[in-house]
Amino acid sequence: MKIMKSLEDLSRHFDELGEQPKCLADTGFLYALAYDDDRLFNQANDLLDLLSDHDVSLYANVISRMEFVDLIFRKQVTQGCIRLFGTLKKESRDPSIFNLLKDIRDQDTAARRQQQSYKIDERRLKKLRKHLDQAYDIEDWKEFCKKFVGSMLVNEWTMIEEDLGLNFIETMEGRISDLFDTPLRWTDMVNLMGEHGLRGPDAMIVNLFSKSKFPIFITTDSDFESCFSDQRVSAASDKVIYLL
Amino acid sequence: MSEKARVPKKGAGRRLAERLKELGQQPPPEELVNKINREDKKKVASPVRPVSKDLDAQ
Repeated sequence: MKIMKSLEDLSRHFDELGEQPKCLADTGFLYALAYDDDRLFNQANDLLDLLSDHDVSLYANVISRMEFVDLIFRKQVTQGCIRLFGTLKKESRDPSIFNLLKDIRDQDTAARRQQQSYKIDERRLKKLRKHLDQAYDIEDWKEFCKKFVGSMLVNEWTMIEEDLGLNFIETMEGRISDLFDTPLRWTDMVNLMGEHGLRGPDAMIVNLFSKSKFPIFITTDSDFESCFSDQRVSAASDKVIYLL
Repeated sequence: MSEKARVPKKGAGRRLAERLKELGQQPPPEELVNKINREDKKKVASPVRPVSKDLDAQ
């Protein structure tokens, strides 16, 4: 297995592979395409354009598909919170919402200084929704979400996935398909979690890539490099991990 | 690997980023802004039982 980090090397590799290659991608790459405050925004988009030039199709598993849309939802809510905070009067007599929105704005500012793309976490998201529901009306929360993300998810999401060239892998336990040489098994994924201390979604990717016919895995996470270098999970020697 | 797979369109990521930025820069719903600035909270029933003014009850 090889690690690649340059677009030129990857471009040559696509030429060597010949027929329309297929790549597996993780959530970090997909997210980096979508927000210019992500430190890998430009690299990710240059890579997507290279994939387009070489007619390379992009695949993600259902977990990455869900994580991608969830991150977009959380990021859009974050942006909405910052916009909402900007409209509040200093003399607002609702200190709970004022302080919560200020905290979200401050988290975003701190993250930007470190070239990170801040997304509201689950605790703050639940707190915001609960506050708007209890103090005002649940319809206010729905209207807020609809404005900043909901309308796009309802009306445009399918087309966006098509434009990005995203294909999705749906394989049943123990079955093989056109994309797999070896059956995927839940127990193999759980063993990877136990042996390598990987979280479930990462273990699922490692298990999937090592048993698939995908020649290339695109990721933003250097942890995969050390995991695949372990002989027990090492994928076929001609496989490539492209690390952004 | 025989099915017809989708391929990325050039510039699709940057177009998505533009669209998301555009959505994120909208003004928030006016009604919610007005409610928060006026503290126009919904009425919540008082948890304290009202004291009876019925003299017979004393």
